[in-house]
Amino acid sequence: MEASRRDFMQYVVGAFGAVAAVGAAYPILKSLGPSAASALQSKVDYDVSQLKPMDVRVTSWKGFPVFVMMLPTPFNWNGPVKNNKYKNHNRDILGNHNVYAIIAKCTHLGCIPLWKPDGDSAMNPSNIPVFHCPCHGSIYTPWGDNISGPAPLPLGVPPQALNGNTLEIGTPGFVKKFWNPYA
Amino acid sequence: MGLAKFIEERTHLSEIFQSQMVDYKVPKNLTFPYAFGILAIIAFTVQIVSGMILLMYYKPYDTLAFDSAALFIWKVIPYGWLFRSIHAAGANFFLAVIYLHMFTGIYYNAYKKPRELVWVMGFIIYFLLLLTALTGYVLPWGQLSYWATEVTVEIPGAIPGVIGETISLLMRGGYTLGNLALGRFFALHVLILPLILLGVVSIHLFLVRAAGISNPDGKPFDKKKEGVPFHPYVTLKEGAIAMFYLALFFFFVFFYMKEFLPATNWEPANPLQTPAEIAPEWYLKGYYAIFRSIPNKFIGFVTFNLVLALLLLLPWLDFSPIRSARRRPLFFIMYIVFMFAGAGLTIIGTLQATPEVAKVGLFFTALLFLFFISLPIISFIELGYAKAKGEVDYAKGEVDYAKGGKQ
Amino acid sequence: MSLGNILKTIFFTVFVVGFFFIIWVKNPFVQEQEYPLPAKYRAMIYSDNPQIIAAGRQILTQQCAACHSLRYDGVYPLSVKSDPNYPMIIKQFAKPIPSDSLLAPFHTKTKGFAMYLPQDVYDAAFASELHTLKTQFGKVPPDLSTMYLVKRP
Repeated sequence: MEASRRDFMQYVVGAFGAVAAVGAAYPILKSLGPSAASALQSKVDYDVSQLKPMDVRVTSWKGFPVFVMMLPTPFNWNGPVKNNKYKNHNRDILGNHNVYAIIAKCTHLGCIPLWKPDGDSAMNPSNIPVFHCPCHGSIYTPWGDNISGPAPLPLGVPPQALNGNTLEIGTPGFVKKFWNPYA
Repeated sequence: MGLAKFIEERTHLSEIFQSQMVDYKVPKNLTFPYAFGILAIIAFTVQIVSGMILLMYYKPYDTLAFDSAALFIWKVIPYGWLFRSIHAAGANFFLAVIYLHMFTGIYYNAYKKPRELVWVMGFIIYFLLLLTALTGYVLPWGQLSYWATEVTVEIPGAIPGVIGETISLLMRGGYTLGNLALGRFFALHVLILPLILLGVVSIHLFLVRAAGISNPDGKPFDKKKEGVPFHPYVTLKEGAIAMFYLALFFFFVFFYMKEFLPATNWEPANPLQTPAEIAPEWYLKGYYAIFRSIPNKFIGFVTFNLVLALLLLLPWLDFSPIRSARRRPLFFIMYIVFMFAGAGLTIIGTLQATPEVAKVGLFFTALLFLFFISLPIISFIELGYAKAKGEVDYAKGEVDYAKGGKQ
Repeated sequence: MSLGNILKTIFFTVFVVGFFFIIWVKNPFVQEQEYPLPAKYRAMIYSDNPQIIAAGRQILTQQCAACHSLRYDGVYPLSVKSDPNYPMIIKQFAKPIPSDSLLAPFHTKTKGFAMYLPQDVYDAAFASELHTLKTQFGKVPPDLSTMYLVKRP
């Protein structure tokens, strides 16, 4: 089929128009995205020298709320865990450390769980320390493994390293890989 | 393609396009300045889109406004600097295009019958646009923003007595420019004035189509015999001109923002300290020059409002049935005088207010009024001339070119 | 196009371009003060050399930071810094801003970021220090943040 000059012009103008539309849309859409400040906040240093055993502090890393925990040594915790593929997932990573950070975002729908160091009546036994999410009742171990309730996965664990009195969240150390159940 | 057919069967868009854009015939001799209307619409769209992005991050509160613009939009938000530059340069380009569009209309006498209403709507757009620019300029809350607006808001205070004070008080929401003024200027600039502008622009465009586009030669235009389809002749030609306009515009946005983001405005507003030189922006400098040149504040205020009123009444001041400066040598000369007076006054506005400058300003103001006064005189002369040659058709109120109006 | 048309086109084009050149690019009727920048200072201002930046920051903290603030980089006057509430307010209200600001890489606490206090918080929390500065100098020594926003290309 013989394409006329008019058709050629229409195609060329159309192509350039599409390029222009993409060029105009790109900065508009980029401006709606995360700014450099929020995207790069990937290393948070936390001073743990003032923490006492059974303390939980809240900070933030990469936009997630984070619990910085100090457990007493020795710490015996005999509560039940869900018998699925992830049972004791976090305890295996963090169990040897008494200072660590876990992400304080419930894997069900994103609320921040409450720390119950004296136990929770919704649990059986009801005197062992747990995290209890107030929104829909999910319960987690002190290391973030989910015990009961609608939460499907354990709490997230950021890469972290302990340097003297500073817990460096975001630096790979005794936790190398970011366990991200929220993606 | 399937989607195109789907939409076509339900909207008949291609028929609307055909009847409104292709079967719509326009004269063959439309000149380059006729593109300024389309460029104005493009500039308006650019302002709206860039304004919408800025609106997401700007905070209209006096302690937060400057930082939201100078820090968050300019440095934190990805590409925020681009949208602020586009909006700042765009405001100046929009007004430049509007002025060129107005001057084109005056040159080709596109305000005469049956287009008087087009002119009136256009004047309303011009006035609303000046207000939009004024209310927008204060929002970054820099030194220049604050003090230029303070000066401009003081001007209605020139009306003596309670009226002037009340107007200034109502504009500012108090005795000083503060949070209340910022709040109402923000609402005006972002929603109220743009909505009204959209409405008036639509009416303006409708009236242009209803009355027909003017002819650069001033002759009536016979749609059937001579005329080219709007699409593709006008769309492609003005599309190409629009590309050049956008290229020039973005050159300024990326490489030359010095004039549109002046250094004085990068200082947060300080109500207790006035910077060295304050004046309104260039699009108001003409009126500012008139106001400054006249020693009495109230008469100065009345004078520049008189200029605006005479501009509005242009179709009735110039009642000659002959159209277009191409056919009217006297009008052409006075038009040149008008151009020099307007440009001169704007440049006078950029200078410091010394007595010599005021004298020159008075001279240009006189030239400006000379243009308006000359219009009815020229109309009289031309009417007489055409009557003497037996060319005026009184029933139609037009020159009857059939009888040989070869001017 | 007849000669008349060509002349008119040229005249109007030159007039419009000339007018906008005068008001937007270079106005020959206004005597503007030129402050020519010596070449060695130009190299310093537009430099990305960390040593020059560090030297500049040292000069700022030694000479200027006693009285001037640089809010966009988390530098505050000495009297504000020695306010007992200062650490708590910074911790609670200060937000990080990314920096292509020249000083941020040396802001040790938050690597790569300066901490920015919103103006209303700054004015309210340190009102007494600011008032003292005002009585001392006649006005609060201005914040220097936007000076380099203006100067950079």
